[in-house]
Amino acid sequence: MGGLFSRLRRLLSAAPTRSQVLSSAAFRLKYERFRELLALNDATLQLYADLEDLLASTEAFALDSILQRTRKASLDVFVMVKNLNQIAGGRYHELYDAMQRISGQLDAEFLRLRGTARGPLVVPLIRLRASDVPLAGAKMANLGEVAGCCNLAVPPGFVITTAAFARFMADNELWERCERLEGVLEAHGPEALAEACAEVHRAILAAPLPKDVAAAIADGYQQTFGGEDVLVAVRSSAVGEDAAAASHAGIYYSHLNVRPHELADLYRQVVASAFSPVAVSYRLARGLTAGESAMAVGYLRMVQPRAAGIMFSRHPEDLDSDQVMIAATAGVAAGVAAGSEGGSVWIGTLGGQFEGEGTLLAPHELLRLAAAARTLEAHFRAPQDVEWALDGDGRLIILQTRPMVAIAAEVEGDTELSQGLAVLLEGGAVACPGVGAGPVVVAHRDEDLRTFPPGGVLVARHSSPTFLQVMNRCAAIVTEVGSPTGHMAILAREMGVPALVGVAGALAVLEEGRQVTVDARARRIYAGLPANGKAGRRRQAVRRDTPAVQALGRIASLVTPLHLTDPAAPEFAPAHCRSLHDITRFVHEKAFEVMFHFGDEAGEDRHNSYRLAAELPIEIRVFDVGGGLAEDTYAAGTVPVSAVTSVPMRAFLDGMLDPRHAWRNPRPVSVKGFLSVLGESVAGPPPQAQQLGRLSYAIISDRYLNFSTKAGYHFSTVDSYCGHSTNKNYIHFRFSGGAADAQRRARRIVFLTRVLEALEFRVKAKGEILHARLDKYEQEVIVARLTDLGRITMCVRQLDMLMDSDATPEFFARAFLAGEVDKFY
Amino acid sequence: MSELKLLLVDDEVEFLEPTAARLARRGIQCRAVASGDEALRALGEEAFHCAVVDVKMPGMDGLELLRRITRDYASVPVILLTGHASVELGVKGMELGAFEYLLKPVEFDLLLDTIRRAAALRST
Repeated sequence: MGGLFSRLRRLLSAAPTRSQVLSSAAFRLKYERFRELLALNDATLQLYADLEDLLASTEAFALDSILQRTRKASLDVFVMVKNLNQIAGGRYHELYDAMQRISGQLDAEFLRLRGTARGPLVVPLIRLRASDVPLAGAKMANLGEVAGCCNLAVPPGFVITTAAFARFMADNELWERCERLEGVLEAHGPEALAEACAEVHRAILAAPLPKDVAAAIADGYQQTFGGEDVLVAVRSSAVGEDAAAASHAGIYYSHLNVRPHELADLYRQVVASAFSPVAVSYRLARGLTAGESAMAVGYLRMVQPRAAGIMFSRHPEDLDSDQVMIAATAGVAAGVAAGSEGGSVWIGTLGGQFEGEGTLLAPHELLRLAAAARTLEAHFRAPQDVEWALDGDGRLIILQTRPMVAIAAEVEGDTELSQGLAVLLEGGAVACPGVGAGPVVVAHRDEDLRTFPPGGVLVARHSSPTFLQVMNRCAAIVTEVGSPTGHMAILAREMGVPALVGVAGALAVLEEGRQVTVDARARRIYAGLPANGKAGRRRQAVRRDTPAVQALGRIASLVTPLHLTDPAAPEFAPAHCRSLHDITRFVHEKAFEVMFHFGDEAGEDRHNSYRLAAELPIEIRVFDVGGGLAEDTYAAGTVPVSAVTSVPMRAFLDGMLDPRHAWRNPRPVSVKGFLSVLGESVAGPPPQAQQLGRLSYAIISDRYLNFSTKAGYHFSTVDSYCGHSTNKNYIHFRFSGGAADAQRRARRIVFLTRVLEALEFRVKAKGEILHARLDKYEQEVIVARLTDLGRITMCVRQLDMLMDSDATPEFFARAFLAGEVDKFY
Repeated sequence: MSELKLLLVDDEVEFLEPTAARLARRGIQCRAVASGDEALRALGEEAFHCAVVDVKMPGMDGLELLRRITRDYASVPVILLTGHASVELGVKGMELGAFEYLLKPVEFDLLLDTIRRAAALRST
């Protein structure tokens, strides 16, 4: 009898014949990996949906946090692949190839976004040209171009390239930490950002320079300055810096009068400045990626100037005008650019007079400067913003040139809005025209910016590029000291924030909290809000045409689209996975397939399981993978039903143990039906009907049930999670095979389809296999349906015997749904 | 289960020593070494239930060590640890037969659990 029994089992089972005996540890592991896989499935699907939303939106969004999430998704999907292979005994190894292929393509895009170039670690400044931006950053590449092609002097110097930067970041595993920052701001606000930045800052400052990078700095110094001990300026030169749409004015770090022993330290300082709160906010506001912070560092010999400053080849308020604007200060000009010093300003034309204050610059010097500005403009084919110095011998040296940031042609706000309001203050210089209104918020220190409320009017003593942190939410900016040529003014224009600088007495008049309206073009500040009650200004949308945005599109195409839609199609295979979403879909499908055979692996392992002492015609062996049974030791390997604490198992048992199942009653077996059962399965002496379908396995945890009945007229599996979180709850039911003739099997499938569809399952039936699923329902619904499935499991045992010609599947389906279980017995 | 013997391989001493100490307190006998070569020597000297191996090490890296262990000491399951979340490393590690791939910083309880699992599976 035993031999027949195992032969039957083999014939009826859809599982591999080699019975694999798993220990309880292995069961638990497999179960947990399956659970983790499902959780990751939900997380990645959510991410794909988010990504699609972000791509469709026109709001400013953080490319970096998207990249961060994409990378997370790619790791999550890898873990799903890993888990599937772990629960399926390595059956899906080709998925690793698909994973590697897609993640390789993603990595290539990430690398391109990081903006680093391959090349030497150090390059002399004079060898650089404008096309070297990816290697030397914009500032130094342009300066090399000035020296080589414009017949203007630049300081001697060398550049430590983005290739060196990439080495530094990778060797110290700094990239991932840095790329997290944008996400921090988005998720937790400016205060958290400051803390996160400080942490990253410390990590960068503590990171050792790779040996060859340190050697490159020493070599560059030696070869450029010929062994002479000179003072140098160490300047940032980021890849995305100095573009017309993204000046990065004053955001990165520069250091003057650096001594030879400080070169390496300042390298780290400059790199760290790419990850300051200001720099991160700037990129976020401009839709740039951390990749555009790929940082080359310039080492330029210090100029000891008689005078130095900034000049614009066109008037910043009117790029079509013929006027050149020159700002100068005695000595080094850092203060002018930073906005903390006013300096003297001249405005004039090449052919005419320059008007301005003071005698620091002679008329012929002004003309020379203006001519140089126009030479640069002609060469770079755009109005230029130029940093310059005149040394003691009267030589003109260009320190930096970049495209000017034009004042936005259209800045929302209308002068008429301020009509009828009392003038509080008048004067100052226009940094960015426009009208903005709101409560005064005085910023004395950078820390004050962290708690800056949306819609406030920022009032400060000095203008500062650090104001950038609040430019996306402030209504206007007013400072007592500052220049329209300074960094903050440039940034205000880029961001379209109405701003007045050099407004005497602003701090005394504009008290904290007072409602004011700033009309920057008219250089007036009024008491109260404008007639329409609001002023405001337009927020700039992220430019959709930047290389970063295009790259994001390519990245998205490797992540979100789903090509694998039909599990029955031949294309539903690892080789056809083209996106992370495809892999997710494939893994999810196969994971359930594997779990439908979870019970098979229980095999004949009696050591780690208990026999359930239940009044049922089938024997159930229970494997507990966590909290499925009340904690106790059970004698003789048997547990009572009362010890089952698994919520889904209890529900399922309730249905099976429904007293209306009159399976004990002797019932005449129709000879016709019985023979048909045997006809297709075995020849030989008929076994006892009760012994067919004897062994079932239940793998349970407190909220999980995997129940399989494999030896019987059919093979069915119920896999369910039933907890408090609706989104995680599901029931998957699979039914297949079995003895009996084709007609009867088809009827059985019809019966199940009718019943399960009426119970709100989604049902797919193909041939003799039926899949039904119920996803994301409340615990009570799942419990009720599991109880139904328990009843179905009992009733369906009877069906082959019952369904002869005049008993239709519809009849039994109606009977079942009407609760007339007795009709089956 | 009798006392569990673990081989812990990581060049990062700041991780190695405290982790070994904590594992020892949880009843795991831990031999901590700082390189792949030392690890192979240890494997030649005594039997282990499980090895925890950092991927990034100077000299012989974790993947190479994994390759040697699966070749010469096939009964010792290897748990890979990495500070650099990389799909590529993960795929390579799993294809080479790692038991598990964990990201640093790893929660101590998760590490402990994984070690126990690996050892339990080995002993069946």
